[in-house]
Amino acid sequence: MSSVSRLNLNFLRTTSFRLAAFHLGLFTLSVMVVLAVVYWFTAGFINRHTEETVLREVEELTTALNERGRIGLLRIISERASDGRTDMIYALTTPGRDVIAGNLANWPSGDPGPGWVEFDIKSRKEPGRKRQAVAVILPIEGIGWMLVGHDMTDRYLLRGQLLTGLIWAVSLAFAVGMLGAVYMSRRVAERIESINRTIDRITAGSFADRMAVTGSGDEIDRLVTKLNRMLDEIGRLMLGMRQVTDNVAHDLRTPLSRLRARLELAQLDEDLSEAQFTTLEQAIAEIDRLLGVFNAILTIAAAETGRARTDFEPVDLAALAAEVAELYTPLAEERGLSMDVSAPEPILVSGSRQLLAQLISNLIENAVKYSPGQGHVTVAAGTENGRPLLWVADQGPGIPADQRDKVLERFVRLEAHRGTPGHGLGLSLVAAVARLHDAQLTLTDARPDAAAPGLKVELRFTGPA
Amino acid sequence: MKILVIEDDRATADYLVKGLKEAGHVVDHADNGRDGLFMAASEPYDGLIVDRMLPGRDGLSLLEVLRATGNETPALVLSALGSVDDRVKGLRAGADDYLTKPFAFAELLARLEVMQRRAKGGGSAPVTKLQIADLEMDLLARSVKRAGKPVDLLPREFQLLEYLIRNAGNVVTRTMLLENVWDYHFDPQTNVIDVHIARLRQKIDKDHPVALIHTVRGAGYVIREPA
Repeated sequence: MSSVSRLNLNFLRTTSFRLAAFHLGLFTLSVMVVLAVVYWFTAGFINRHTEETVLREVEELTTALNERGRIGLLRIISERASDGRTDMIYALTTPGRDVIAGNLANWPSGDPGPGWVEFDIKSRKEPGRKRQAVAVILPIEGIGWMLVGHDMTDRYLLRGQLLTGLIWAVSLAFAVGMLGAVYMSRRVAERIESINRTIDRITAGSFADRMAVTGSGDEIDRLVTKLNRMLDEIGRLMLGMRQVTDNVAHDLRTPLSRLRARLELAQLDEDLSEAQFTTLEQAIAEIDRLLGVFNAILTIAAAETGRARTDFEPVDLAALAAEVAELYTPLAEERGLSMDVSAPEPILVSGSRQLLAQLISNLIENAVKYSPGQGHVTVAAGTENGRPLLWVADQGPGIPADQRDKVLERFVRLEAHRGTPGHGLGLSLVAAVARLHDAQLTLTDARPDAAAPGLKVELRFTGPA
Repeated sequence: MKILVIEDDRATADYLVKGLKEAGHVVDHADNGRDGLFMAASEPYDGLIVDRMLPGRDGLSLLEVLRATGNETPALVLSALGSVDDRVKGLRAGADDYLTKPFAFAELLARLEVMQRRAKGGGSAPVTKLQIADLEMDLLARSVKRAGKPVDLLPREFQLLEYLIRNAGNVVTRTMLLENVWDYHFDPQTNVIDVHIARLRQKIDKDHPVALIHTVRGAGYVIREPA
């Protein structure tokens, strides 16, 4: 559940989402500006139109006053105010604000002086409902005050609806844009995520994996194609490097064995002094060490090509582990170590008996080599969730977590072990044989809290036990 | 012994011929499969050393033809191919032993002699008791006695001793022990076999004035009657 929600929100932190959000913001802002301008013009138009109407009316009424006198004005106002459909508001009052004529229900509160005024009026048709009006108040000589205004309720309603409409429009634009941004960035995020997963798998060891190309030919596709090509190239170089070492191993083996043969023949000479014989013996031992390295390289190479799968047969992992442990028990005991074997039940795997024996032997050899005196080397074969599991643990110094991947590479030896004999191929061979058997190889601390954590090498087979 | 070396690589052949002569054998050499087959079929040899990859006719088919004609001369196949599959194919074609190149000459010599011995002793009734000097082995009761006193051996030590005694007088190499006693065809980096031999010596030779198990420098071990 948590992984699902994490996956769902992951896109929020992606570049594509940020870009989309930024563009959405810009877009929304520009839509708002456009609509604000529309609103401002419309509202302004309504106000100007009202003012013009009111002023025209005032002009007409003043003309009437000048031409026909106060009675004329009174009559015109009464006439116009009595038109039930009019939106205009008229009032003619005494200096004391007593309404003489007009349709004004109430004088603006606050008793404003001459000039423009905005006020609420009580509706005569619908009592209780507030109406708004804009009016101009001007003094009329000999009468008092005249108020000419316009009922703004409908116009304000229109303005309000326009505003609501505009806000809706902006919100809708924002919402649609947001959905688009989320959709786009999630699509991109998912593709990037799938690329990330593939890269993780590749770095975890399945080098043959490649990133999926959707075929849309977009920039991600082009990037993925190039990355894949780069991986192919790296693969080719890695293979080339391996082939070089393999070829060197193969080609040097023949002259080395001839050299060895010559030294052996020289040893047959009866006239040799003891010192000469020993020198020859040491030279032969050196050659044997070199040949050992080359043989290890070639065994790794053979395991890596997968050709050795033709040798696969049912192998009892438990019996084999116990057997190899037994082979090394005297050696371990001689170094003050005890060999603990736990392989109670037969565990059948499909594999190469020889290569698996060599794998176990390399692990035990390492365990014996790096254990201090008076320790335990544990060899165990069992099952975990129905899958065969083999492990070898020691009480040596262990391998720091950040160097565990490294020691599986060819010729890599930890700085601390430079002084001990070995060629740095033991664990590479273990890794190659594990890969050949589709077994997962894990290096962990045998005793995580101890000063000497020890190394525990686990091998999990994928097939059922 | 009269030995035929069928090997096309000049340097390897020279070394084999020279080494075998130094070791006191009579050696013939053929540098291709056709000549090799002709020589092996027309002259009696005590042993054949056959390279697997040969011009004219490859080593395995050469052996198959020889065996098909009833020629049982013990043969050791040399090959650069070292996988188990290759080994099985070699043995199935009629080889008595299989050695991966590059090999130590001492290894080849030891194997040749053991092979020879096996060929001569072949056909006799299965033995139930082995004896060398005052050391007796009862293969049925799985018991061992030295000078009449029982010696307690672990199963693997018993097998190790049995292999040594069966090849008494012949040098057996560490690789031969690993192959024949443990059935492993790889070289451990450490001296595991030496430690096992040391333990066996502790039990067999320690309290006795005459040692039976001897180390042969640069080659391996041998168990033999005291001179």
